[in-house]
Amino acid sequence: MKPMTTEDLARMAVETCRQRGAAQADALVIDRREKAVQVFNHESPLVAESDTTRLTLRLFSRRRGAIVTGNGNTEKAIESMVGQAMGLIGRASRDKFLGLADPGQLGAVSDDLGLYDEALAQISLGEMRQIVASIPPAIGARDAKAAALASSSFQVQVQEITVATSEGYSRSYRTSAGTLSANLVLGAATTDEGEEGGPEGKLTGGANLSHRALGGLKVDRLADLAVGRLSEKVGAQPAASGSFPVVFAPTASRSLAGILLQFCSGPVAMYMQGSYFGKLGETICSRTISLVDDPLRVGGLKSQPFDHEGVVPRRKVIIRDGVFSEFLLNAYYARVLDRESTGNAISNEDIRLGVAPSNAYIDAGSAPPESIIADLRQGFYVTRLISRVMRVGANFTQAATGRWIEGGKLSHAVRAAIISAPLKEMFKNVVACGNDLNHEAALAAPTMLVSKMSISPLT
Amino acid sequence: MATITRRRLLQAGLGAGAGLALWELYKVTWKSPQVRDQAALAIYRNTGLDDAGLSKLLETALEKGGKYADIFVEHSMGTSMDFDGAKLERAAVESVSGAGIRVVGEGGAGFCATRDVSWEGLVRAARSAGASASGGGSTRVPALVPLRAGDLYPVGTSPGDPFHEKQEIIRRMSEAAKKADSGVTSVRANYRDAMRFVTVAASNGVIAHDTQPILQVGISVSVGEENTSKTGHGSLTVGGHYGFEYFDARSPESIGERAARMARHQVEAVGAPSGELPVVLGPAYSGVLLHEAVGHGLEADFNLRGYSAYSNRLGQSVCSKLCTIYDDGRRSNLNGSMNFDDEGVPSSSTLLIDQGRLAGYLHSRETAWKMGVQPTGNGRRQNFSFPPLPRMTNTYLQNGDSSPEDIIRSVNHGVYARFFSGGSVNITTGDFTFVPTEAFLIESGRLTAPLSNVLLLGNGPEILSRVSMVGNDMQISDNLWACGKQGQMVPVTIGTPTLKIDSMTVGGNWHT
Repeated sequence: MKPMTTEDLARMAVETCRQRGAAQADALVIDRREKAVQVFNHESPLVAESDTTRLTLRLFSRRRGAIVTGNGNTEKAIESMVGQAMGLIGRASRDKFLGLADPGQLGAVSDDLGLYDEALAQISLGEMRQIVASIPPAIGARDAKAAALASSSFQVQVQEITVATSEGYSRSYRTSAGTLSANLVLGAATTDEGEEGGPEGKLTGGANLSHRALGGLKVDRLADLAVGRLSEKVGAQPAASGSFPVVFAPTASRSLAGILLQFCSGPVAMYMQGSYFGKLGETICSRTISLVDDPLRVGGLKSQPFDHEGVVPRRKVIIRDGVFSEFLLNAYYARVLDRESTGNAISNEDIRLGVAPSNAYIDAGSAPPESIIADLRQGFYVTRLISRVMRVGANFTQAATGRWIEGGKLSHAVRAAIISAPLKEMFKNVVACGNDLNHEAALAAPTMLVSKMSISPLT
Repeated sequence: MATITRRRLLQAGLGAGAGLALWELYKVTWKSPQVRDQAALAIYRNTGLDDAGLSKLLETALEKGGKYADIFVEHSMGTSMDFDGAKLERAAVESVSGAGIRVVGEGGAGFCATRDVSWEGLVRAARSAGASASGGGSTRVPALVPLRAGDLYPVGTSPGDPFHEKQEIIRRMSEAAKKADSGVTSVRANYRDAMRFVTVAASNGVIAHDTQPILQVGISVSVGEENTSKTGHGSLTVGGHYGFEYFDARSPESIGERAARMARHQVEAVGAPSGELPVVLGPAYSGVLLHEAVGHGLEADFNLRGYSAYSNRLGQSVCSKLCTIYDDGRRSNLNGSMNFDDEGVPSSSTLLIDQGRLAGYLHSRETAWKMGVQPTGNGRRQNFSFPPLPRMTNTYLQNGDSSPEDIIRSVNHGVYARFFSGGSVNITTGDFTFVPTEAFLIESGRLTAPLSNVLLLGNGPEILSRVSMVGNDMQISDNLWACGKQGQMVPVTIGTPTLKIDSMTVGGNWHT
């Protein structure tokens, strides 16, 4: 018997919805195979494999909707879930904006986006172990103390993503992605010297490197990043307290891009009648900022030939020279705002689906990062934001680590400090963007200088 | 109460894979304690597995070597609904099943998860998990003996059907939020009930079946003020391993009113001070401090590897003598409670810090072996597709002697924080942050202005050494917390009495 493909599963699930009385339905199937090799502290490795399938079905009937999620092990299991969902759908309220995406927008990008690499997809666990084993020596070659406590891992994820609708659309694509990680602890031996790290004299640093292809996963690059992040913490002292310029390194400024994106998406637009920062066509932040979403970049970690509704995505400039020029939308929010979907739908167990950026970045400026720092008498060079809970309200308030700037140069490391500024003011006070944009991560930004923020150090 | 015969249970269970019978089992499981006691076993048998089959799978996993193997079979199902006010916007049905097989040996550990729970699929997974194993002795698995670990999830009233009872809970909660504040601009709410059927079998001869009921109700309230165009948002999600009796002790109205009050707080709040200040943490939700500042650092895997700020410090003074901290997975109905953990070890109450001295770590089976101690029942996983890790369950700080009023009165100028949205910690340095959603200025021993945009930053061992007063008002937070570690989320609960910390870094808008 021929095994069921993800397209077979998606089409069968949609057909089941129709048979059970749904007027329309769409199915998203994500079939995922994962492999990982993880070594802690030179212990024996943990080798993990998993094979999972996630089916998300949206059923529509008379502008009402219901969702079914599961792993769709059997046809009977799907029938059972759809039966339950049809029992509930009649109780839901009508929403005139609910439904499938506009058929005219469905399709798939025909160019090869470089999302799948056979060599990475087929790599054996033995080869993965060899690569992981090569990480500690690479780190040791750069910092002997760090190698003694390195933990390292290699994860590979291969996915097949399928969208099918009851109107006959059905498309699939494959992706591969690998991530090399190194987490370093530079240790207790420095306790007596008194100035390195926290109360136990320990420092942590680490880096991840992700790529769609095996050839892009360079152990030397990972080791450079990890050791660099550890060494930037040595000799930490408290930051000064008060108001100072803050320079965000690319490892931190990408969070600023994330905040802007959050406020330029369809759900926010629906509830706020525009972005938190202003309406389309208005200047909402510094003219140094241009924000781009590019789902078509070859090899991009979030590139895709169609979104989770089957809509063909396109590159868009969300903020151009500080002017708000475009929302990120899926089909639902596009209907609410009387616009077209931008191909940014993402499944999130909401009948309307969510909206998410693809490969998004704040565009590079012209200034070398060194010249941005050289212009400052004093300031805080932030390399990492350490509060995982992003509070985005009237204020930007975050804990950060990095280096202190003194006389136009980076001086001592700063262990932790809280940086704060009114959110709108902070984005208007971005006075320079560096020329050091890189696209190693899906969300990216160059070095950025904010002219003034409040700093409260951990003493 | 519905009477469920053993025959009906078996009929439901045996038909579970055949369409609607599975949902019939789901309904009767909520209604009857006897069914609940047997439901995981029925689901397990419905997959075609039996104890002899599991033993054979474990032996297959160990055939290349290894000291230990376990298999975790899970089936989760449930329904959820999103409401705009009392209007149902969306209904959802969820159902996931699969198995995870793990082998631990001298040459390393192997883990394989699969959604394919057919015999062939499980054999493939067992071979894959054991492929890199070496060492160990006999691969003969002793006869599996069922583990009896009590019932920490007594359900008084089934949420079951009909739909309108669920909608009525939401309506009462939403109406109360609107009545509580004339500035309410939107109320969104959600409801979920679910059941997790789990079977764990281990090569040391343990087999355990558990049926875990889950009830969740969430509300999110927005308040706006036309004059100032200021807005505030209050949200919370409550529940645990309960049925509808949950609302006997906590009315839906009280939940709605609380969310509205949290939203109003943000509208009224003014900028917070910055700098090193005394901080008073209110009861219940402030347990996030223990979770971030202490709990993660006491998970044994970090200590085994020497990463934690608490590594090799058992018996040493690590914080104020006023602090005694437990992790207790055996408190009835709480979100973090389990009859047994995801490795088939009965959950327990673990003394972590005894009057300021480090007393213990939280262990999985693997860390316990490596450190030569008994497992504490803290081996947990998000679901079948992840290997278990040492995790917290319900973590709380024991009562002290001070009244909460005296604690606030003792502060001349500082910050009082009551509700939190979460936090994070660097396990190795102990540096943590956490984010209050409801905080007040303390002036001359009294709570005055509500504060917005506060962030608290500290170092776990340092901050807990600065605890100078502990209240006598310990409360467990009723919010449903989810804790993340190495990409896995698990449900947990926190609790604490009112605490005074003599000085802490506060990040706000203006410098004192």
